[in-house]
Amino acid sequence: MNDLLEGLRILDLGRYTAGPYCAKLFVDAGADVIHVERPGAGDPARALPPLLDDGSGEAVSAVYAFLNADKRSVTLDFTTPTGAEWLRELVRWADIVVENFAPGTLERHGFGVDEMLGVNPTVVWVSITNFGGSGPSRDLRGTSLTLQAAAALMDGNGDEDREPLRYPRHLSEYWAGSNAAHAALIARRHARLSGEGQHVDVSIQESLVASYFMHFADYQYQGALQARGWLDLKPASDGPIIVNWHTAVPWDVFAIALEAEELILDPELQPPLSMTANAGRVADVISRSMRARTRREWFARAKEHRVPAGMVQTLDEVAACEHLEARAHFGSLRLPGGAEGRVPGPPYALNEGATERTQAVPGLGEHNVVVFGELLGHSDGELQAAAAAGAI
Amino acid sequence: MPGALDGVRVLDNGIVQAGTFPARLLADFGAEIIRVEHYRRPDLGRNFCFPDGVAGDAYWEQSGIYLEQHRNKAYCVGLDVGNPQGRELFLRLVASCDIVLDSHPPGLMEDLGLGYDDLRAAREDLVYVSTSGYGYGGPYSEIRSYGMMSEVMSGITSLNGYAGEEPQRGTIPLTDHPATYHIAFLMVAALERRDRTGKGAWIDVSQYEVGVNLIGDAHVARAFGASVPGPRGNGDDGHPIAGCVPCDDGSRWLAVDVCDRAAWDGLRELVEFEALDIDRDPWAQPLSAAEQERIREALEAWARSRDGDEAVSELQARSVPAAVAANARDLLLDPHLEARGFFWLVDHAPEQGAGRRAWPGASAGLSRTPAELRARAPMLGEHNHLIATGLLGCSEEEYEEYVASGAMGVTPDAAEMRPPPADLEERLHLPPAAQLRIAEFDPHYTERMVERFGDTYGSDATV
Repeated sequence: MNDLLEGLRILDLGRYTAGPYCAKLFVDAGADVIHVERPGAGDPARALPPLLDDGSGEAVSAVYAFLNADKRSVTLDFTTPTGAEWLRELVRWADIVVENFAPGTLERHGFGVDEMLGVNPTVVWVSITNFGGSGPSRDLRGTSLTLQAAAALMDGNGDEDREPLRYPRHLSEYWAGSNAAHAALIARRHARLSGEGQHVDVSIQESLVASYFMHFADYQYQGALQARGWLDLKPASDGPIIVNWHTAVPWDVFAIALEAEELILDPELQPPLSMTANAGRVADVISRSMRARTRREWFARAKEHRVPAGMVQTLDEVAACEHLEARAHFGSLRLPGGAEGRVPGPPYALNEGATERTQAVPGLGEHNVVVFGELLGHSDGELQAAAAAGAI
Repeated sequence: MPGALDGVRVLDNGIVQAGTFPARLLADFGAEIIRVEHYRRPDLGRNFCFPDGVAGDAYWEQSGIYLEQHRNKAYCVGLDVGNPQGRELFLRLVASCDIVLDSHPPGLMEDLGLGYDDLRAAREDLVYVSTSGYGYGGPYSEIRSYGMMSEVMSGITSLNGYAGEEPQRGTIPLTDHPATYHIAFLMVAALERRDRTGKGAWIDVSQYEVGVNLIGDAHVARAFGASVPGPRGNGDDGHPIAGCVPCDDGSRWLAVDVCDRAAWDGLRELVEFEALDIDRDPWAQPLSAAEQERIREALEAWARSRDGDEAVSELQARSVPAAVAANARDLLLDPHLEARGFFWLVDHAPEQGAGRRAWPGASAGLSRTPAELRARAPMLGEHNHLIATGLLGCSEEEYEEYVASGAMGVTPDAAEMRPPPADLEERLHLPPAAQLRIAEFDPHYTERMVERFGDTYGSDATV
């Protein structure tokens, strides 16, 4: 948590993962984020596995907790008259609105971009969808699996003779959410300076394709299509590790770091043949050598000899990592029922010292009174009537 | 058309990918980028992917990957910052820029007298964004790292692989590419605070920590005692049916994901379920492994001889999320991306050896201030004279002096260069342990590209 975006107002109409991750980046940078959820079940991410005991016997999703800490949660059904009116009031309050409903959904309920720019002409309205707001694939359904397929992420993951593999968890949605966040902020800067709001159309497919682009040159220059089966993990005695030669490191030093003298003795195993025709033999030599020591021992040797390296770490090992500890990466997270845990913080540091404090995961509608009452100025009576009508 | 970031000037001192691509993202929306490279030993990103696989005499200008990711950057200045005059020029450039982006390993720029404190002395309210594998500070800080290394450290790899098998890595260095958007976000966020408060900032992005955040939900689950199993393959979301089956007679793969009841009902309409005797709500009563396998076989029998795109249409028409597992060619030829104008045709200088190529366009569509193609990638030191005598106000004599002293230059020291990689024909026959593996060469790639992008594709209509 820092003050980079202090005072900026974000209305998070997001559900599941991509929209809420976008808004999370704003929370971590100090913005004020109100997350609108539907009454009753709330954001469907609240039901995504795995579910955690929040400290009071209630279940809360780890995904929801990660994405929505320190947001203010309100419930609102915008298909009711009061809900629709109050949503418009929130849009007037907001600098940026983030939504990831299916294309056309909000429009059908009277919350299309053009109408909303009429309500708040300086608002930045961010729509995150599977394939963007136009084009023949616009209305196709998508999941992590099928969107990774459609973005050509899977054609490089898995074994060559077996089905292609998706990458794990929700990382492709977070990836797209981070694209939405940077584009939203660029549009917000323009709105602040010019008074002109606008629509930001984010396609999950394009988010992935625009930043993972290397294979387009390979195809256009050679007709080359990449293969699956990327066997760069080497077996240390207690698990896999990666080591790479780097031109700034003399080949001999590299071989010594890896205790693979064969790479010095055999001229055929040296650059440039080591990178081309004999790459497979070099990999075999390194693999044989790696079995003699643990990942941590090799990692220390690599550090000493300035050889690029990385250990395949488990989640437990990451949580115990001395480096992350020294960088004060972990922070404290409190679930709605009071349970607390040490969880990852933002992936960056400011040179101004961190303000260590506990982030809180909001209960469903926890901030209805403060947002609808204090912020929008509705009376207790109005809030009770809205609740009775199912609007909040 | 005006860009949202008109008037913002960025000194791009980044290398390879995560540390330099964010400047491209800002350039797309109007920021003016001055790319600085150590001309004697230029960016490693220049050393991959040459026209026809052949690294020519000036191959550092001809990397397709470099041309893709540096388009829209206005200027490139070749400096030797180890030279006192080169260092002084660097600091004068810093003084004229709003943001400096750097991705050298921690310690390297400090050793040259160009760390954050030195830069801040040149410009008090500077926004300085650094990124590296592990970030500044902490015991791993100065460990050399590429994206695949911070990926494996972050725990992502421990979850990647076929269900129940050992972890494996895919081709994407997973911290590199997603990190770029985070970095661009932080560059603009710090600029916004500077405008608000007058304060500069040093923001240090650790790619290891980006990786940790990309599976942040798994780390949260672990922290609260939930069990997080290892690789779960294409069934990672726990849906009753999720995976790929062959289509197009086995030449492509069809990804199908039964994520909800609508998808389940849709699948049952298409695929012969009667014979399977599986007629129930799989969320109320989960499918057994044997049942999943029988459904998968039925789906495969349905899909194998079908055209993949038609299979997708039939499934999607019945609310079943489905997509062909695309490759680069599929995307270049994709009618949807074509309708959205996603690929941009970029003309290059003759020295770049590329002619007109189709590179990915904007990452997002801004309705009033859309991203635009403004420039091809600059060549190494192409704007030395322009920047020295223009922005920096040097005389012609001073410029000549910088060139003579080696402070500025355009030609790498050959001895410093990485040997060019093998041509792709050779790569095709490499054993599986080699990097940059190729599955196939499409002999018709040029015809396909000309058909898609028009007769001028690949031509030397240079700018």
